[in-house]
Amino acid sequence: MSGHQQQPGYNPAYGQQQTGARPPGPGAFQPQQPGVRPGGPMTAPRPAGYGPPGGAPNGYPGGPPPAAAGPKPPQPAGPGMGMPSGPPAGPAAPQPMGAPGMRPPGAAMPGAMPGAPRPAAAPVRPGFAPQQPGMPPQQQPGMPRPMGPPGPGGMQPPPARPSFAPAQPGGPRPAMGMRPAMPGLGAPPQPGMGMGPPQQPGMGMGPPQQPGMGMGMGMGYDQSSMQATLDAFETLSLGPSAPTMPGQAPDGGANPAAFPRPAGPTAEAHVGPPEPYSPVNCKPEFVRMTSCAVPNSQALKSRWHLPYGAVVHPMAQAGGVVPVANPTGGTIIRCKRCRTYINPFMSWMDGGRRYSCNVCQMVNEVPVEYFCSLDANGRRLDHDERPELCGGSVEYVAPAEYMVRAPMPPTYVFVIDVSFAAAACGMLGAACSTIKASLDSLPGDERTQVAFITFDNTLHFYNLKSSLSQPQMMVVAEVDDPFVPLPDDLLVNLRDSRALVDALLDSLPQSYGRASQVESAMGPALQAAFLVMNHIGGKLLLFQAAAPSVGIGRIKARDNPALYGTDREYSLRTPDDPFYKRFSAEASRFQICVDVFAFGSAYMDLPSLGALPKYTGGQLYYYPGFAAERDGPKLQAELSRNLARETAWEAVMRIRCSKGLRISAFFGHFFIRSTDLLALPACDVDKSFSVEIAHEETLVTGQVAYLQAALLYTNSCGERRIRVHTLALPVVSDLIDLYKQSDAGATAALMGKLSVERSYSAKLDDVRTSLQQRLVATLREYRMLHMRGAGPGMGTNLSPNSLVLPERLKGLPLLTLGLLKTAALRGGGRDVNSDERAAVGHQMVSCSVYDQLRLIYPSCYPVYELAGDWGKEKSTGEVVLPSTAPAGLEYFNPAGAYIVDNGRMLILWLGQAVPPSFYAQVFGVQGPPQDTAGLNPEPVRQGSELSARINAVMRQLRDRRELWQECWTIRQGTPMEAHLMPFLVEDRQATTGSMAYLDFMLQLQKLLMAK
Amino acid sequence: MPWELLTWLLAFILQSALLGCCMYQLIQLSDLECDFINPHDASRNINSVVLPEYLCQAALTIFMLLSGHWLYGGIHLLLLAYHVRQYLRRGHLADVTEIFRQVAPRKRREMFKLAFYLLTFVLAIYK
Repeated sequence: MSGHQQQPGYNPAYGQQQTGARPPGPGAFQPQQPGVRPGGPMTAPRPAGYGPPGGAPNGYPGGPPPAAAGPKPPQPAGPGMGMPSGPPAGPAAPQPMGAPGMRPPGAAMPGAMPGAPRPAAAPVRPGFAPQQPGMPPQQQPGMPRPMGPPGPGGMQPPPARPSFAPAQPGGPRPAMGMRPAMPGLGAPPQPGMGMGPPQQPGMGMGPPQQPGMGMGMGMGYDQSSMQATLDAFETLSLGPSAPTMPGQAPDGGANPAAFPRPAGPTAEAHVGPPEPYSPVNCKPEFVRMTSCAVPNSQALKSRWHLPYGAVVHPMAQAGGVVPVANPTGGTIIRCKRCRTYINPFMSWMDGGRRYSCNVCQMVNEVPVEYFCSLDANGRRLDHDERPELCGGSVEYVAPAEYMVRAPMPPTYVFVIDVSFAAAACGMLGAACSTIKASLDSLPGDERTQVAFITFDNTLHFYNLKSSLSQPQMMVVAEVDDPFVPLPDDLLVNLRDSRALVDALLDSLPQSYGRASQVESAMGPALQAAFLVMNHIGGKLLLFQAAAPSVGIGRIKARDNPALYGTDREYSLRTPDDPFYKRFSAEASRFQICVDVFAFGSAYMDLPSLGALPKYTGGQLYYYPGFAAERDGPKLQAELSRNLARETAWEAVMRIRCSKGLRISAFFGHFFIRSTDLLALPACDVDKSFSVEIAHEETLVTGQVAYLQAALLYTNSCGERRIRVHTLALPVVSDLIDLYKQSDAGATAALMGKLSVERSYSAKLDDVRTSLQQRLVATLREYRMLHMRGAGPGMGTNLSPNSLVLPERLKGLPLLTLGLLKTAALRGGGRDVNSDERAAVGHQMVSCSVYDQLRLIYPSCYPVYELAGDWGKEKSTGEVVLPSTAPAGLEYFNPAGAYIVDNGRMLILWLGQAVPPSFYAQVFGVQGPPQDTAGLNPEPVRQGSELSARINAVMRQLRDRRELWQECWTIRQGTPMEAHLMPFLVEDRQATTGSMAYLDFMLQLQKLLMAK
Repeated sequence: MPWELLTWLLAFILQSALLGCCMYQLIQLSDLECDFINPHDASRNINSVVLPEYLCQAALTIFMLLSGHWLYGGIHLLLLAYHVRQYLRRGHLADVTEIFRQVAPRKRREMFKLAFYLLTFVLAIYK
């Protein structure tokens, strides 16, 4: 327990794992569990999850899968899914080799005789031994019981616990410290909480989009539960010489199937955020910290080798509706010194006349109109009526002092390439029809303004003045110094000129259908568009069908794989022509956001084109080899989402944090206007921004640190708004607490963003090496902590062959491996098309944590068994997704079909042994055809439930994503399968240096023990 | 002898110009850090003196070498080589989009240059 210095109000109980000495005592516990194979010497554990009793909806066949499938991953059993509010068993936890370690499915189910040891049958059962609620705890030396009632999920660790152990129960934790009686405090123990190794109350089960907040977590920590907390660690034994546990047959090698991975029903627990420190913190959808605790000094932070920071997603759709606070009397209450917006963590004093700023401790006067007296607890009487006081996320309607000009109307300028390539691939027609169809859903009602510019080797402007009867086209052949004819009539009000806009969009594909001009003057067209819109700002949508070839900004064929490995390698990933950066800086200054839709079939130099959206808050869409009949729906879905989604105009964002901390780096699509102010000409629901947080020289004082992100923007209705997200974080002085509060998902996301950004100035090889080094340093630090015995149960018997993983970061090695294999970072010059690399890198830098995790570790949904209720709609309208399989070919059932969702596309993988009936039901064809490329599971085949379910799953996966994912069908054993391989993260691939999961872990271990 | 004096006079003038350019850049950078100036203006101002500075420095070096001041010219030759390298790598101009990331290294660079110019300035005066 030496390692624990409890901060009041800081609950060590969450995010923790009970642990024990590694070699178990004689009697490990095992609940009576139907379907659980008694432990014993096992090489390839077949966890109970396989063929769960009662036909679990995990998509695996009830019986053991065919032998050809190889060792199957521990798929936790389905019954857990039905458990109310509890995360299911967490089987995918790292496990000592050979031990199934799986929590039996439904351990808390009545059938389990908790506490009934079965020593004989299960000599080694490092898994988990649930106890009956309320059972007297087994003697656990040095582990006093938590004060709180055990609660249904509150089991105590059994004595002589084998090496890993369940989470600490999330029993009620009396509040401590300065935070009195918060809502949700002392919440009743949540049944089933903390039952799986991934101890995230309320987290495990929720659909991935909604990590469970709002379960009303208690937030204080209780001294005694702290005492009972064992440290978080799990061990993986690697290598044949790993010491075996009693009763375990020594066998060769580790079993990768038992390694932790974010797949299966517990996937969310591996990558989900930890329980929020305070119930009024903003939701993790808005701000996710890589560790929800703040190291108190620079020295401590330097031992935390992972990046420390946050991913801020200010407009997140998943966060739900943000309440609007109407400032009384038109003023918004902010601290005089640090300009922090008022938030629930301010403390009131002097009968409510003054308040102390939580960020800088400055005592401020409360304006008269905001005054309200306090109750006995020091809380304002109107606390509950004010959204800014009772929630971490709030939106203000900003008064005039927050405007430098009248709020701008939503403005869209479409700059469309009409050269030969555009007409030939069908892009022009698809784009025009989509724009036309989206005109009604453009935000802004009667204020919206639009303009159109087309270009080949000349620029074409369209006069859309409402008094005209049809659009008037003007051609400017001067591309060296473009000018704008009729500066006033090009940008028109959409509602007034609607008929002309419709007519123009109808006529464009026809007039340029036979275009023979192959040159494309993109740079001059951008400059012209800039002149058209620079008085007002707005969105500039560029549709580029081929590499720009005329005028400023023309693209040279500069892709040169031979540069890889040299000092100039990074230049391949940065803009070639300084025009791009210069133009985007100017655009950002005039509130212009550039979205680029690139359709090239050959090299387009996306690293250059990508600079346009990168500094203007835009997005890069890439359609390699666009063909309208195939990719039309994708363009249509993405373009209409781009046009219709909620957009914040002329925005700026600032992130403030407590004294002693500062933001040291930003990642995302923005322009940095001053040291900590991000200029975002447009910000939408799909953009996130990441920051790295550094420590000043001084210690971070106080028990709690705060982070506040404020986005000042104009909404589409012309209202100036401020969206404020506030977060309280405990300050800790022990490294172990940082590990306990860490968030593997956010950490991996931040590492990804940071690495992509770094690849713009360094060699990919160096980027990959430093990623791996960070991981190794982290694990080494943790191992040392463990050997020193920072927590009870630590420091004993650590064999050189066991890899110790922090409980909350146990998925991190795999996520890092996934990162190394993303298209943005993997391989060398010839392994990944450089445009593809740029496009993926762009997405990684700006996407949310959730989307990025798909890119790093694709979800593989088994979709061939009708068992369970996957693919059916819940009452909320959401579709139940099947529980995922590990992303490795050996885990796929050759008689099955899997949807691989990698964040950019969906791949329907069909095993070789898929029965013909599957083809008939899903594709409506007889038997497996020669060519599977033409197979499409859509639309729903009449009368086939399987088809309906698969389509429902696909619909659910595509919902609310920035990119619409096309579905490709790939059959096992065909050459097409090579396209799937890069996404199967756990397999070894052909590209250089690509490792399988097991190899990676072994290498990690080797590096760890190297010094 | 008057030639010698003239030479050093010219060196003195060029040296002062270099010192001025360097200090101007430093001031712009610290203004930017303190948020007194926006990055667009700061980088424009900085970039406007970079090339003159390089040209001045090159002229000074060549002139001193031609006039046979090997030590003095040799010292400056080192800096000239560095400048040429920067120029070829396109690292000489401030990049407005990345300027906040460049502030610290740029400032350090300018400080070194300032020290170098001061040293050679003193050299020029006392010769």
